[in-house]
Amino acid sequence: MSRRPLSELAPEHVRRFEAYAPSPPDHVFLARHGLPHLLRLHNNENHLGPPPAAARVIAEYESGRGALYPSGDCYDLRQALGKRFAKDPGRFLVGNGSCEVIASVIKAFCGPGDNIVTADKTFAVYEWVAEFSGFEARLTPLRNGAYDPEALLEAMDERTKIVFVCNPNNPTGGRWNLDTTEDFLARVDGRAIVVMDEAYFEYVDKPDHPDGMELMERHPNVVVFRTFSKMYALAGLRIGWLCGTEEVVEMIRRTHIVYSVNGLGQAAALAALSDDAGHIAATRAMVAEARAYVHALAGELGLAVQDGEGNFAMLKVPVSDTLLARKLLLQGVMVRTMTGFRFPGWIRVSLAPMPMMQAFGDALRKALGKA
Amino acid sequence: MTKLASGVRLALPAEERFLGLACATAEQAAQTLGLGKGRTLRLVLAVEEVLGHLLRQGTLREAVELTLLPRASGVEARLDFAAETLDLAGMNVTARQQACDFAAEEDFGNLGLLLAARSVDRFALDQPGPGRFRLILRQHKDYPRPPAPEKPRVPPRPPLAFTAAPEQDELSWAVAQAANFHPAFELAEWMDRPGMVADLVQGGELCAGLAQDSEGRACGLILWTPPGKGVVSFRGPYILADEARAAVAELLCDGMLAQVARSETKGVFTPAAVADLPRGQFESLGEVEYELPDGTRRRFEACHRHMAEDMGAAVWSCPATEAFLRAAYERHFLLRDIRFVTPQGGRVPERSLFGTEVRASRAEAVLTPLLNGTDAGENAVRHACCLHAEGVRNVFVHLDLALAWQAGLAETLMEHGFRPVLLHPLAGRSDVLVLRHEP
Repeated sequence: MSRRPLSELAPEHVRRFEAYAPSPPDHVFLARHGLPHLLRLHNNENHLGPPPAAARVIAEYESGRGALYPSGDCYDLRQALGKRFAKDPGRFLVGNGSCEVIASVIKAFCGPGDNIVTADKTFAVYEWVAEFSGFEARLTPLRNGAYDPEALLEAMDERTKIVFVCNPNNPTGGRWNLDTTEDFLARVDGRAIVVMDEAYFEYVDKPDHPDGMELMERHPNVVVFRTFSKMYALAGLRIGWLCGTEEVVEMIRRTHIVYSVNGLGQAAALAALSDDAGHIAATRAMVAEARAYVHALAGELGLAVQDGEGNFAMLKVPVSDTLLARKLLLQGVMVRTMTGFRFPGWIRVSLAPMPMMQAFGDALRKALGKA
Repeated sequence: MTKLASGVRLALPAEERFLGLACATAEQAAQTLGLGKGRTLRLVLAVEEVLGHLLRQGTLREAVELTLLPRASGVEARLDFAAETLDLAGMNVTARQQACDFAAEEDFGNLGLLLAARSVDRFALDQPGPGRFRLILRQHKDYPRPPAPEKPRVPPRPPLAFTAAPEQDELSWAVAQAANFHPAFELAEWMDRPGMVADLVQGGELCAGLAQDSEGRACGLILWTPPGKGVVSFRGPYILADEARAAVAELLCDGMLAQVARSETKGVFTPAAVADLPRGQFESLGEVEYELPDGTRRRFEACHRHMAEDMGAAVWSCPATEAFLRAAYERHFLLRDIRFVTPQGGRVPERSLFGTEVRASRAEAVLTPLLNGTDAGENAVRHACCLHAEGVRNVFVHLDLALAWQAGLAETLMEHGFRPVLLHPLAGRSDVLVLRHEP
């Protein structure tokens, strides 16, 4: 009998899913295209680098430790997180970046026929993980650049297991304040897990900004995600974590991979926590300066800006964003196109130290023919 | 026989005596799946001729699988098989001319394949793996071609909203209305059958978006192929009003892009940009002049946009197309490593095979190489001449530059009167080079 392609053995929801294609490594890219330099302004990285104590740990890491398995459940790091947030370390789970903990939560709470609810114009991984796992991702429109609580509530039904809220939202920078968040959680009333993805929490310096770590004590269905990839500039080491109530975390622990966080990452994250006050202040100052530059640049070029909190800003450009990104790339500047975020005609640029922002500005003027 | 959720599958030993069983199965299944008698017979004829040809060739390694599947607009027959070699050259559209010669030589095998190719609405050949083939034969149902309905008199009332899940009657109405607001040359040729468009959308084979005003009246329409690998091809935006055309067009294009975003689609493309297309959000790939069925000449502009960053890629080329490609890549700001095809000394089959898709409204035919062969240049010219004689005066070949053998065909095609006219970024496994026959 004629054998059918092996790919047909995979479930339909896997076959129809697109595998994410990461960009090539910088050195390959530079060599392939003969570019003299590459400014990475597409991934919301913190270009100040990690806090000094973390940088020291990375520099001094003994090569021999590479031969040993790390702590399988990030014991020391969880102890430090527990101390920092005055919670039992058992309420923390650490993953290989936030993407891993997203998958852990979905696997823990969703079964056949269940759904998740989130926004249409937000971090894509909630939607991706749900879909390639065979669960429906219900997407709601944003309102004024932030999640719309009414739309989320309307999209929920008895099969909704998780609501993902990215606060502040990537890529728009819009956010919920404490009142909005409290009101939303009260109306969800424990019917579903509410994930507060606070990847950019440390960038926000507003007194009315909600802290999920406090909210979960009043709303036990809240799970908080945070990461060392953004403010702490350890993106290359991939460390994200979640925290929730004992009951919730105990369920997630069952689907969470152990030994997935490498030893160097654990050590660097531990050090970063011990020495972050100055780093956070310096990063916030750098972001504020870069944000002011982007607004001035946008004013000069007649471009609309969409931003808020976080180390990024969106610009509405008068040409296809994907074309503009290629024009910038040929000048060695990488930005994120927003068509994939369902914002066609917009780009997102990371807010970085001024020399990088000025190089971006020069490249943008040239790409738009306004040099 | 296996019952599928949506069709039937029959595994046949590779022996000619089972041909009758296959035909009987195809006939019964096609009628059960809703195809009328006349169209069922056409599909059965195609199955009989193709399968008979394959069995007589004696190169099949294993059993053949025949699958009959319901499709939104009709029925599809699939033949999955493994073969050492494959000679389906008789299915080339030009085989009609050759068939006369073959008939004189009493080679009726190829005549049968010709009948198969021309009795179905579409045939396609795919290679899911080395030595494995899937042949697809598609037959549409009969659809009426109603006259355009009365033009709406009330202008759209804001606010406008985009919907990607239009109600079927509303969609049919909008498709029919497009002829009231757009010249015929801007419409896709299948838009004269609104019922088929609605069926295709309902069946997931085509996607549609409507712009609706505050009272739910459709004031715009855009149609696109379902997201998948490569690019989505779209038609429109069609504006069904005389007012607020730019706003409606932008709403429709943004709505379509949002629907396609986060799929595996790398780009969107329209072969015939309408006057209302928001040019700022698309890149012009160039214009091609067509000689239309009524003898007039008209230039059509092809437009494209990527759906994500393009971090560069490697493509194949032959020396003859290098200058064209380099100029196109520079114009579109695309980073590409051009690798040159060099003869590797491997065995190339004697006879090539081209898939042919004809779009009558533009007197256009697109040839796609399915199988390499030493006769590719002559074969393509035969296609062009044959099509030209039938009034199809705009003949193109699409070459996928991810495939060295296809890129290498450009050399012989150019020696036989074809010239590169467009580059479609990401339209195949990689970029697609379009050559036009210019006798």
